[in-house]
Amino acid sequence: MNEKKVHQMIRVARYEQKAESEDLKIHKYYRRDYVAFAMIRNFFVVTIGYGLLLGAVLLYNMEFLLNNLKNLNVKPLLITIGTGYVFVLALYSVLVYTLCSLRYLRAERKAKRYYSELKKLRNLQRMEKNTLKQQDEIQEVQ
Amino acid sequence: MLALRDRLKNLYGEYDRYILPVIKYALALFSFISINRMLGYMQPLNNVVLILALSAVCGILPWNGIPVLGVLLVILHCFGLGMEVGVCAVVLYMVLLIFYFRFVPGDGLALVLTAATCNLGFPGIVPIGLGLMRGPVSALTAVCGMISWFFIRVVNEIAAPMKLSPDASLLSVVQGMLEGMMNNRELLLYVLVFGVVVLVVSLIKSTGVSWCAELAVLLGGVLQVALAVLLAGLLGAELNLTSFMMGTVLAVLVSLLLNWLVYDVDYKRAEYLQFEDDTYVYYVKAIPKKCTGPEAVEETLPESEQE
Repeated sequence: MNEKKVHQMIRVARYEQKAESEDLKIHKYYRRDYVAFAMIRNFFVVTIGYGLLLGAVLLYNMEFLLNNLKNLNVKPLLITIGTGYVFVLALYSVLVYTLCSLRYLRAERKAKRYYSELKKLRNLQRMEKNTLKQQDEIQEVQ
Repeated sequence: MLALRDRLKNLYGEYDRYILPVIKYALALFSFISINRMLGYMQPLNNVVLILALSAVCGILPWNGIPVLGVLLVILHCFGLGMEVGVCAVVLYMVLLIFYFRFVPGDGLALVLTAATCNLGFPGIVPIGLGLMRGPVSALTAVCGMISWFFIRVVNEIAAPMKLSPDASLLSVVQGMLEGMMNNRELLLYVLVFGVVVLVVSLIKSTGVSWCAELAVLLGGVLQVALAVLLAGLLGAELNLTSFMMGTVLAVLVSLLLNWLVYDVDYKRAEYLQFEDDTYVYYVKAIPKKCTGPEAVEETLPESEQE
């Protein structure tokens, strides 16, 4: 058993099977695809969340709304709701974009290290094969 | 004492595969029993066997299994009280998840533990613990934990009595609960106090000076009481000073003990790997080294089985 090869295999396996495996999955995407997917998901999630909060606020003020329904000026209310939605969406979009970009950078660094370890392992395996081949040839000559 | 701590650390390093599930099981059991005691409106869930089984499941699941099942228990108990109460619970936890916990899934456990420790009368343990273990952002986790705890209190103190009355409509129960959450000065008091305590504790801990953790815990405790008294006066919120002070003293003592036993110790787990080449299948167990210097992972020679 080649101990050097085994130690190298352990190093590679730790990348593949431990926390770094998440980073390897992230690195399979292009950066713009990964960030774009996160932003689309964020849009739907924030819209649902804002809808839920808005529903709670409307329920809280239901009595006032029902009593003043005839005199209610809808336009400013809609503008306020719309502005609030845009503000919340923009805030969370910036947050998600920043976090995903940082996550992708970290995944890229880890992936580079992983591929470098994998390359070392391949070289060790090639050397081992060549050594065995030479030994076989020597035995044949003898 | 240091020898005891080193022995615990080495024991954990070797037997973490058995110790970790037991710790998770104990935490889950504590959380679920607290939830059942606080709520308990859905009778089938008050079964001890069910709680023991759920806790056992949490022992083998990842850490986030405990907050997920804990929140599910709270929601089911709320549905046991009434459909509208259950829907309010679902909305609350979805909003917390959407706007905060999807960014810090690791803090989910604090959500359940906050309610459990508040129920015992020691609300300060989790904020001080969060400040020691996590960063300043976990101030928001403490805030969410208090919101969750006060929601449970609102369910018990407002929704439950209203549901007993025959006159109460769905809308009035929901409005009563919203009123209880939005105009709650006590909630505002705790949110401000614990948010500031987490920030201060984590900032002091991050300075890295000698005894920074102990200093952070002690200052956190003093600040907690001082700020609570000040804000209670300013906001006109109710505060039982004696029990709050006793709870804070106990929280400080527990946090100091946890810091010494848990937070301050770099517990390294044994790692288990499996891989193969053309000739062998390798099963590797990497055990952390028993040394006081810079820690290194000792790789045992793999136990291999020929194919």
